[in-house]
Amino acid sequence: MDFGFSGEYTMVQKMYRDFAEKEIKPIASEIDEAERFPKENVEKMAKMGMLGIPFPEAYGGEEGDYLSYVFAVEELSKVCASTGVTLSAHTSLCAAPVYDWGTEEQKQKYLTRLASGACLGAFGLTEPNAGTDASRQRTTAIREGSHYILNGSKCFITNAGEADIYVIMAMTDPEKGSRGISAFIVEKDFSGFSVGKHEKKMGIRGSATAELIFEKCIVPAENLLGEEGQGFKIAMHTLDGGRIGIAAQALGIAEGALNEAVAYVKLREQFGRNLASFQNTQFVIADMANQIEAARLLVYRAAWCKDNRQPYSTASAHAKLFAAETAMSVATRCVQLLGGYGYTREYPLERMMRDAKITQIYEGTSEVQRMVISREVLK
Amino acid sequence: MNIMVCIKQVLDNASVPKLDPATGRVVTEGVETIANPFDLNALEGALRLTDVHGGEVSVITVGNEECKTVLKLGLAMGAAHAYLVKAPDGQEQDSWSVSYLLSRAITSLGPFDLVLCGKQAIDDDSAQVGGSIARLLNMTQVTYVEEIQEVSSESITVKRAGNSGSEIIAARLPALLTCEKSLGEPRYPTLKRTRMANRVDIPALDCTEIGADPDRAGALVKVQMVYAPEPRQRGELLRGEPEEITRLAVARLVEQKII
Repeated sequence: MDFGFSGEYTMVQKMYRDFAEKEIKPIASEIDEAERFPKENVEKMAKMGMLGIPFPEAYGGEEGDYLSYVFAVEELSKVCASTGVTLSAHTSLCAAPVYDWGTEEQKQKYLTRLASGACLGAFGLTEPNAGTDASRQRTTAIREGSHYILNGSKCFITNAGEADIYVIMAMTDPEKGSRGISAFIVEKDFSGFSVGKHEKKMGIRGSATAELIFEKCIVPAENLLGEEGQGFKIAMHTLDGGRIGIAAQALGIAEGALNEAVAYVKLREQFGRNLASFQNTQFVIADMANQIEAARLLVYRAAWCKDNRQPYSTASAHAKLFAAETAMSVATRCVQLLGGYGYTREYPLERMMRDAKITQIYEGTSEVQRMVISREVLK
Repeated sequence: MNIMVCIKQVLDNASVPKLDPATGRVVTEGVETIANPFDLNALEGALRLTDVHGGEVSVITVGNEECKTVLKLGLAMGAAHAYLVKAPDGQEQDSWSVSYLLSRAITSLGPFDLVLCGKQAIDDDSAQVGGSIARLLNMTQVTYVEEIQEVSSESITVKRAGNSGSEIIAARLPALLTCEKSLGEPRYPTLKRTRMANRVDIPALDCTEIGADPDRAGALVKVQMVYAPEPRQRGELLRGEPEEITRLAVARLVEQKII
């Protein structure tokens, strides 16, 4: 068992940290306030290869592993969770299923554009009536000659409107239930495809979240991802990987919040001494650091499982559940340490607390993670 | 175009330096190190030149095995080769000895059309090494270069920060330039290059390999003591109406014989 990182990982981590500090942090508060998607920063991320970390060079990727990708999401999320999820949704939910399930032609056509950063990706599973119960898909795909016709809508889609390529789930055979779902690669310019209402969110306000609308959307038959009826399996497999990304985002939020609080308690004086010298502060900080440390081990372990071709479905559920709960509880306690200042937008902690909440909800709520874990324990 | 960029590993300027009272030196153990920022500006300038004109950039430093970290960063940013020059054991180093070792290494590894250094290191701020290398190599030197304007196979035209404004200078190649920040914001390494940089076996050259005389490779300057300046005394905050504050302020200035 080796818990030490090689010099290479340390260097990779530092590289992403420097980038996040210099490029992402300075505008994190502004994009939250203005609910603005930071296109300029996504372009910079593309330029340094961040949009294709775990994919082979042959498809335009960086030939890295999942752990390096986790480092990137974590470092971005320390300073801006919106940017963290933009990368996570692109990599885990769009590029990854194309890599894992796509034909050689699909990989050449789409993965190369996603991994090289020429295009941004998104993933459409959730519908107004199909949230946690994802098998209740209403979006349909009917085969007509050389193409499929998609009708329906998707909601809460990360990167919607900003992405060029979408992996979309739709029902090809409603009678078969979840086995009648298929996955498709949809380009933003396909006829009949449009982006609907943009959500006004509590947190991660610098990320794009919107509805996708399919009105007789024509998708070439060669854009079927995997086989007909494999969609649900593809979606669940994709989410297993995606959860590691969100766990990394949650870990980053918790670490970022703790960093801010630590800096504050060392400087803030009350009753003639700084807050860090009070035992309450020390104990709260110790508990938070302790939780973060445990979350980090779970997140890195889940990435390690995926990198080493071990089963990672349960490992990623453990990582996401624990990291998301840690993010929420750490961010809330950090706001408390800053008191009134923590509640104002002068400090980033109120944003981090709002951002943390979503990690308990998307890509499987904390309750879904408990279902996955208990299923494994009770089997 | 072949370019050599000299990089120094320095203590991270984000950390507060601590002095060891026993040795009278800055404590280096356990302190994060970084590449001297001006050296990275020089490296960026070099990479931009080879991006346009072709050729290769090499990076070099003097120090111990740990200093390979800054060389790896250089490789990750885009340098093609990296060299560590090992200082002779037990010899202290100063600007003179480092310049001597670098000049010998540059001669043995060259020829280079350009040698680039940062304008100074952020630890001792001495700004001696660039100029000294140029002198030892009998090479044209231009210090405080803000911008590279034109390059041909024989000459280079640069803008430098002069005492009374900027100067445009044309110099014959080979030349040594010491570089300002404005030469270029260092590019971010990519994951691919970072991984590659970590797998490269960086050669560590000793005096024999670079044709240096070990007896000349030690410091001429002996540091007697390093001490922190006295902390500034706290200022006094005067409160009250403007007239009152003015009266108090004038009284204080008179008291201290400033006016």
